[in-house]
Amino acid sequence: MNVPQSDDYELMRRISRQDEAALSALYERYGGAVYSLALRVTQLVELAEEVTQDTMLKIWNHPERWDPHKGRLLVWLLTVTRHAAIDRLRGEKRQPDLAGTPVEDMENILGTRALVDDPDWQNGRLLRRLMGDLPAEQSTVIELAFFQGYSHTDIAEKLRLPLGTVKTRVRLGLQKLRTLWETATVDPTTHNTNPI
Amino acid sequence: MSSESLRAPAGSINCDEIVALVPAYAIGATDPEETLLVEKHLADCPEAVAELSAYSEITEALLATSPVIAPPADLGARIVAASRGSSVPAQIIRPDFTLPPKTSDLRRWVWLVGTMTAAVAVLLIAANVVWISELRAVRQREDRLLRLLEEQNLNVASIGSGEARVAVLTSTAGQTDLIGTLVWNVEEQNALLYVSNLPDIPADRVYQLWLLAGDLRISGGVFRVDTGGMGWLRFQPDVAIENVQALGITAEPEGGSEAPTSDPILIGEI
Repeated sequence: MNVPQSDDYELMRRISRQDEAALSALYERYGGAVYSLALRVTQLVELAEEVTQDTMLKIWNHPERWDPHKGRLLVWLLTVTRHAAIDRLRGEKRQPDLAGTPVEDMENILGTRALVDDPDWQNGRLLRRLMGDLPAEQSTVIELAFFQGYSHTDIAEKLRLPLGTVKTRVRLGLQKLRTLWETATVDPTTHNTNPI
Repeated sequence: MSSESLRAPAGSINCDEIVALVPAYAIGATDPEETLLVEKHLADCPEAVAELSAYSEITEALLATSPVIAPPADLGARIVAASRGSSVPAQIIRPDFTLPPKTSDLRRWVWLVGTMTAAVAVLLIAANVVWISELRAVRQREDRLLRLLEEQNLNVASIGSGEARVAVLTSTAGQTDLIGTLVWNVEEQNALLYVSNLPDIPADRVYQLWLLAGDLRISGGVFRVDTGGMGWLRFQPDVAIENVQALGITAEPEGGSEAPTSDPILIGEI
């Protein structure tokens, strides 16, 4: 998935001309990433499939909404996916488990489906490791906000915590994560991103 | 309530307090009123903009923290088929009718019978695939109806007990058959909105309910309508009913907006 921006641009140009082969190529290139994020948010294979399809069709129908000057295609795709998945969760009136299903558990549930660790996901893998360095009460509120779409108030209600406590945990957790991130990206030896 | 009155409010802001909210805003953790404050402040405060920019790398990396898991094998084909506005057609394998090298008549007949049998078998398999697909669709519709019935029962149970207040929303365009009804259970602090005859909107847009409380526009949630324009939304209001003066429904981008971005289609007063 280490794709030059120019390739993405050409792909989106073909999609804007309603080139079906380009849609297939886009799915081949990024469908796994989209589906994986959708599955992480919804925690249901059926919903993840629907979100993946909605996202890809949105790109098919409105390719002009991607502005290459504002960011990489993959990041934009995943942003669209996250919003669509959270919206679908709300539409289904579903409330996933508070702690969420750990990614490792989902891999086990999916059994033989291959887990493809792509080099382009080093940043994500690094941040996942850094999240593990946060106190659990801080990483939990960050996960609930980012992957389940919970606001401060939602989290306070779900975790039965004072609103101020939740706000403090979110702020301190993100500040610490930022410090860890800046340290790790300046000095990559601080955190080994090799999963083995 | 005019369409303008739904727009974002003004408010006095302490810069340090707002900047402290920016990390939470970056990951979508702020409540609607906090989001309004941050977004208003971002327009005038370089410090807040710099803070938001500093967290953008982290939010982008958060998006990629899920290991890639292979989607179902047929999902790509379904998406391409859906892009044509149709379901995946049954794959019919065309038998190769090229004649084999000339042999005895008996062998030729055996070959022809064999080929035709194979062709019939392929067609039967294809037909079965179509019927299985149809059966699956029927079962999915049945599941959806059961879920809807279950939701309706929950709605009646949750709204039907305790003191309730009712508000009627009417069309801003004077369309008399376009109407919404909001039932608010004051004791349980939950509410149910029903609408009928709302126009169909593009797939990438949703309807969003807004509660007008003073200068704040608080989202009650997003919903879609069926082909008949009917829809409903059950939600737990973030404010007490005493603080809500009016309601409005707007069409917003998928996922909803932090503040109304279009004129209301339905409005009502508490």
